[in-house]
Amino acid sequence: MASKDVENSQDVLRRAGDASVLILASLADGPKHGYALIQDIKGFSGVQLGPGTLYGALDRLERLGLIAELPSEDRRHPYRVTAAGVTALRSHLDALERVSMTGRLRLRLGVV
Amino acid sequence: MRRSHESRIIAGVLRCYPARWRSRHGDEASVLASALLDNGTPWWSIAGSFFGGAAKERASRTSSLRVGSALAAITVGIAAVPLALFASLTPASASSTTITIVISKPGDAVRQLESAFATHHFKITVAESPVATDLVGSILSLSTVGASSDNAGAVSELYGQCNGGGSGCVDGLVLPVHYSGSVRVTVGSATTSKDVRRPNLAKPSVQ
Repeated sequence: MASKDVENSQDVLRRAGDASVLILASLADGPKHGYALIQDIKGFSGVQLGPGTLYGALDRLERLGLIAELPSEDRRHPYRVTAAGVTALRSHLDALERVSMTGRLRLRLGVV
Repeated sequence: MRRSHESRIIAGVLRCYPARWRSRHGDEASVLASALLDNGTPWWSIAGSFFGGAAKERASRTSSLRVGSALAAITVGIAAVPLALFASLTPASASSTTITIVISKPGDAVRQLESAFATHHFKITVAESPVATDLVGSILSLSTVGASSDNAGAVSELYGQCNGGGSGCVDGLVLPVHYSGSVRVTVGSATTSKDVRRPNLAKPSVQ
């Protein structure tokens, strides 16, 4: 298997979907419950996550051990990012940054 | 539409979720829906999102139910979405059905997938890649091959148990019944070589 694939396999968020990345980015500054997540994500990314999408992504992230549920407050469950989640988010953002830098560099070269 | 009516419709859609999901998230989902209605989110947008989530949840639940079952070499089913109760709420496209394919024998994953894809006339090829033991029989990646009318994004992955008991491995797929995309699925295979792929959460990626 090519080394590129080995590198990609460390980025566990690569195939987890955009919602998962947005949720982890939102939880990176502290625990939040569902409604707070939707509002925060809309604020920093402009993306309005649907509640069905949100819960699907939360379940997926929890199964992967990237987030954990905290004790409920008023019928709402806050979630926090785990150490593995921080590492996964960092890896994914590094990968995105490489793509971003390459794209910007190539645009600057003026091919198009 | 009056607020109480909207809430009732959303509560009806939430009943589409499996009981286990409802016991865990149902209460909070109702509170969340209420807060979204308060801030002006359209009821049909909330109901539509929950409806889609319920369909996916039911599709993925079929994989967890089969864990431990030695009866079927592979489970191929049509995930029935409970549309009858909510026909008045959903757009016509929501009545489409999907096919769920789950790997039940990690050591025989390639043959199982090839057989299931052939049965349903999907243009999907299966490749193998050497991996660590816990990823043997798991789906590692999906990629679109050449120009295709349907891309790999239309295929959903099911997360289930890893070989040996861990969780979070992709052990199944959900595809639209009439899926016509040309896709390659890569499956983890046992190996004795040193070329082993293994997601490592403990280390950041090497630059």
